[in-house]
Amino acid sequence: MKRLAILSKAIRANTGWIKTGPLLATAIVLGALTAFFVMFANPLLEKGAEKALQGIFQAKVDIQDLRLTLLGPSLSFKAMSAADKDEPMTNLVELGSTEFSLDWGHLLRGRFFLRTGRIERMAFGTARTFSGALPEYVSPSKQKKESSSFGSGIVNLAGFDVSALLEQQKDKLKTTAALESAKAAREKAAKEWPARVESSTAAVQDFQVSVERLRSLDVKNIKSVGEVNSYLSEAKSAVQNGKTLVSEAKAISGGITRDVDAAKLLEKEARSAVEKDMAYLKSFMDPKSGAAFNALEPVMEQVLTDKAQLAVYYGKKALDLLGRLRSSKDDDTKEGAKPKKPASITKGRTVDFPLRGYSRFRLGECVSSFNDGLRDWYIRLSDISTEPELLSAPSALTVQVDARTWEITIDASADTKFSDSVPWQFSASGSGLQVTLEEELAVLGVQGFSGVSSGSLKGQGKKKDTLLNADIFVTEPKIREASGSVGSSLKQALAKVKSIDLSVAYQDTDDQKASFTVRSNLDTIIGDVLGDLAATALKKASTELEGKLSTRVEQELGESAAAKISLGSLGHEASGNVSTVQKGQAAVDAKVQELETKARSFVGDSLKGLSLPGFKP
Amino acid sequence: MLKRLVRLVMALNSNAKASQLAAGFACGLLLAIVPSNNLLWLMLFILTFFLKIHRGMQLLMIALFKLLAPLASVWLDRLGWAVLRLESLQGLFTDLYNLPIAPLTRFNNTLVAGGLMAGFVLWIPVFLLVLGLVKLYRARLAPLIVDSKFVKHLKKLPLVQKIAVLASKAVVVVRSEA
Repeated sequence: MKRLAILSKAIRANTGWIKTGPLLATAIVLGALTAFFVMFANPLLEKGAEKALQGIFQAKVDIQDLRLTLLGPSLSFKAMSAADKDEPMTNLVELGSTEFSLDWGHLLRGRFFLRTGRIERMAFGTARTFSGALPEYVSPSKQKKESSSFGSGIVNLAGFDVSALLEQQKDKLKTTAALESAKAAREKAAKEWPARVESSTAAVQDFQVSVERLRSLDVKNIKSVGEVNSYLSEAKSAVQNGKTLVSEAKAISGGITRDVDAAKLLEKEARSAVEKDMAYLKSFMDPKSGAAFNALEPVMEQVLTDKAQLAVYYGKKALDLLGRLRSSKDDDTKEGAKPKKPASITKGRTVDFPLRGYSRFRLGECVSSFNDGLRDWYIRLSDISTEPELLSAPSALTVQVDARTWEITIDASADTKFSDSVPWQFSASGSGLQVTLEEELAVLGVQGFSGVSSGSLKGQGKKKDTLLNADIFVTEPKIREASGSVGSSLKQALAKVKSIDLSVAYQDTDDQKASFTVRSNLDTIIGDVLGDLAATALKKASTELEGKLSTRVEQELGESAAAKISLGSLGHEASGNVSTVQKGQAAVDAKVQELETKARSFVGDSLKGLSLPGFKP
Repeated sequence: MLKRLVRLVMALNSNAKASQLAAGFACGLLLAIVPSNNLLWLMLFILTFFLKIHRGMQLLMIALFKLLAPLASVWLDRLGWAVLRLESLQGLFTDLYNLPIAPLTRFNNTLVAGGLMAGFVLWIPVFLLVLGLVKLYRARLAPLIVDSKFVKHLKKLPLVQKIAVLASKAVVVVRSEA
């Protein structure tokens, strides 16, 4: 019966259209997966999204309560913050509650298309309580930009500070370069010759000793031919030595003369450069020449950079992020990739095939419109993708800020289709922006400048090339406090003019040094007001400047006088060595003749009484 | 686990079909060498529910070969790389890559492609080999083992007797499944 019961159970299980066993097992597996998804998918997705974003931002990214809802489908999170890689205690961006609608077509392919998104609140540059630096992306320490300094040379025409102008322009003067060359030539000569002269003098002294010994020799007292020969040999050696010493002393003397002449020539050049430098320096004292205000460029650059720094910083960051998003594709598929990689041992490698319309990641449009308590913000970001070549439009950003009294509109776009360089362009316009400069224009004797600015800024570039042009109009310009003739004149002039017009150009190319130029109507405004006062004051200042410059040249040349004297005495010593040796040589030559005569007399004495055999032809 | 092992031993010695045991072994190997974090694995796993194979053998082989799979991952990666880079298959793979669902199988991962390829290629040889071994065991080895003095002594041990009780229960289940 027991076996029959088992058999009947088996028979019953084998009948019917549907086999319940496998279906039940499938249902259990799918149920388990659904339960897993409900419980763990969101936290896992949150971690995955944080990791992916950290790879792009190269800094800590925190997402709160990320939720993927398949009905819709949509993706939302309560908050997100991404730290700034270069400023780890600051957030690059902080997002409030955000929701994106997703696309099923992408999701079914395991890809993300954030079709439309809405961000409730955004904030930039907020402080963090803990560092957002990631050890794998430590950025090199930033070098602080040296603040540009500008002397007070043009503040007061009546009491023009000539010394300050000279000091400020020192490096750009031709006299400075010529003086440095002359000084370097002298120093080189002063290092090279003393040792050689000393060695030559010592050798000459030794020579003199041997000459004196030969000179004191009384030839009459020599008794044998052997003795004569010995002295002759010594004398001939002294003659040879003398020749070498003369040649060395002459070389030293000639070398020193050449170096002294070269230094003199350079000094002459330094003196003649004074004239050229004067023409250059005078332009700084003439308000109408424009050069005076060209010197203000570093100040203006600093002021404008400070104001636009944040925008430029975020612009660079955005381009950097776009580039990184594109290059974040797995490069395992590249030709020549090694078949053995540490990651492939456990995870394998992903081979990407050409995509036909479904990017791995794409942001369609994301809009944020909010009020931060002071201003109304509208930010729209669109068309960002890991495969920008699949998009018809470039990535675009629109920012509008309205603070009732002033407003700014920025439109920017970047085309990341080009992997090696990302061409970008942007235009910005603003109006009603209050300009307040407290200490920045102190160089002009101006304290507390204020006005209302409006204008436009256009820029374009690619890779490291940047070209920016701005037209800024500062209306209602006012100066609270002014000192010096320029400052006072400026204050007086601004009361009459409607606006200060600035035209700013910035160019930074990969192969050239960045240039920043400012053109303004300040030259004309001040020049008109200063009139005769400037002409008289500048004539006086010009004379003073010439005197100072000439004095400076002479003073610098005077400083190297010691080297000059020392070099001169060395030259004299070398010349003295030549004559000393030559005199010694003459004495030795005379002694050689005496010795040879003595030798001949010895030979004559020994042949006396000898008859030589006769030869017959 | 002990029950599962006992059931496997019982199956080897019972009248469970040798072909089902061999198929379970081969399927277990296939599912072990294909990484499990993708839709392809899930589909293969569910598919086996509808096949008449020995699931105990399959699950045990998955567990066993999963432990050994990392040792073969370098070769599986190379095989997958070679397959995915085959010029003649680029069109097919590109089509698959752009189809819905297919990318979720992660077929474009070298370990998935290599594991799938190796699993399919090895399936028939492994099936035939295990089939032969089960038949050989039943015909030659099983009687010798049962009649050996060692087994007779072993059967007297309390633990073994407990296992025997479990085995008797398992027989009922095995028969009912058959």
